[in-house]
Amino acid sequence: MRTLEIKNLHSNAEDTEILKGVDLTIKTGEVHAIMGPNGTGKSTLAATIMGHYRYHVTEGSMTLDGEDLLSMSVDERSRKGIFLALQYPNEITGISNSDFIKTAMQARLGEGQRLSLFKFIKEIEKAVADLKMRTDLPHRYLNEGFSGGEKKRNEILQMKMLKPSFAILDEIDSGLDVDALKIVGENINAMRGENFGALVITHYQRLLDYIDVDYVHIMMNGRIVRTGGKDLIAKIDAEGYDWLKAELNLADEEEERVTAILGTCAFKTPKE
Amino acid sequence: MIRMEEKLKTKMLEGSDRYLLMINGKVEDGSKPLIDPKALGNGEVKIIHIVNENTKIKLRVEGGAKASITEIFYEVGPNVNVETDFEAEAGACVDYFSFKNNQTGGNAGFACEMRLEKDANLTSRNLVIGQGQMNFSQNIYLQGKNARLEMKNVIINSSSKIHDYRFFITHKAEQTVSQMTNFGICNRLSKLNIATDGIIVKGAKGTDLKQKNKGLILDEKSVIAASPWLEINEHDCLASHGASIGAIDDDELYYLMSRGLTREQSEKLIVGGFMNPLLSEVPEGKLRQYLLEWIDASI
Repeated sequence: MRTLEIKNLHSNAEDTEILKGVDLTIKTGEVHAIMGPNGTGKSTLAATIMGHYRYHVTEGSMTLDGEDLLSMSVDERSRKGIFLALQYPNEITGISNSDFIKTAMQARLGEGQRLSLFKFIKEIEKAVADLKMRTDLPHRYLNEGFSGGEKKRNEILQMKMLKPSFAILDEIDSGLDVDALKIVGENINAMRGENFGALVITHYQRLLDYIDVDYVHIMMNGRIVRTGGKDLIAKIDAEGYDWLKAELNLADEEEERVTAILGTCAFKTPKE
Repeated sequence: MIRMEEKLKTKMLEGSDRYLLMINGKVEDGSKPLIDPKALGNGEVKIIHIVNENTKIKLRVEGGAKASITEIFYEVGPNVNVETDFEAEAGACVDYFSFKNNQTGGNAGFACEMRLEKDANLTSRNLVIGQGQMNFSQNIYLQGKNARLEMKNVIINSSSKIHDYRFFITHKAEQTVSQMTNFGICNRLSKLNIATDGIIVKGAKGTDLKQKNKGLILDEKSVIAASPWLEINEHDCLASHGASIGAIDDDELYYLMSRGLTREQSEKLIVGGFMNPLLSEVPEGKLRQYLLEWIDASI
């Protein structure tokens, strides 16, 4: 069993503190869900775990089996077993999807070890069929011209191929229709086991209808403010977050509105 | 000479390749300053050049012929100028690939004039790598009705010097079409100037001219400058140009690294992807390997 442990994590983006002391422990074999209103730091948590260059950890710790993750680069974290399915995956011209996945799989092998091409082809064909993706997608340039749903399935395809210990799924449900949601949910469930743990970030119950979650966390003001079981999802779906804000005496996290005057357009003044 | 042929066969030629070895613009024995178009026939030919003095090369593809020409400048001596005169006669259909590599660190000049007659169709690919100073100009005239040009150029400057590239495309006849995309890569404190001139003469009705420059800068001090110039003297035509130049996108890098690729592997993949529109057209084999080795050494 492996353990991802986050303690009192504080993270900044452009001098604004977003995470204000997150505590979270995930073990392989568990699936956790994080819910919360917009702008509470859910995606920042995902990006900070992966080591995104825009986010700077100012306090706290993050370890994987006791090993300090914060001192590792993004690629090292990935090779150690962390995977982040992005909310908005990049489109990269010229790199075929399958070449990319093959290179990423090769990067996980030890020195002198070669990825078996035959095994790779068999495996990717099966994963594509499991996700009911179009068979040409692995051969096309990485996410280029993919629909929103295809991009999300492609993230899950990469997850299936790379077999991480911990997958963080950042709003994987956005842009997915009901059928695709079901397929993605089934594929995440299929990965459940003693070697896999997941952190699912979502706004809606509908994804969690298809994924068996063990713990549900609610995030507000850059912290996890409540942890519970599946019953918490139903309550949020029925009542929103206001009851919890009132219970915790939290203010709304409205973004500060700034009104800027951009100037006036040049115009001709009629001559008197 | 036998030793050189053996070397080429090991490095870039497949057993079935038809090829001509040219030294300073002349075929092996020095007897043919002009390649007989019949030698090209309707097939494929690889021309391997060794150039150590100023040289003029003439290529002509007969009317109606179909030819696939791969031109490799295997050795280019320092301070030489190579002038190429190329003609595609009426109805000729030509796939042309060229690899120009100035390995010496000296000055090299490549000037090429291409003329496309009525209904001629040219698909042109240039891969140019320069270790030394490089001046490159290509003048293409679409002078017969319905002549078509589709051109992709990958230009790599890692010489720490200034490289000047100039492409002139002149539409002289009606219904002519040209589409040019340049992919420039610059590193090691180098500068790459790419000037693209598109001219549509009066009376060249129904022409379509497209130019695109893409640049990838791999260090903080290198510079790529694209200077497009469109001179349009006819109302009934289409013409456009565009340029996008920048460093490797941080988010792309992050995405690849988040899958376990090191920064170096990720950059290599992105740069490879950038050149892929041209390189994907070079078939697997010794020549492709040869080109990739040169690219690898210069980036």
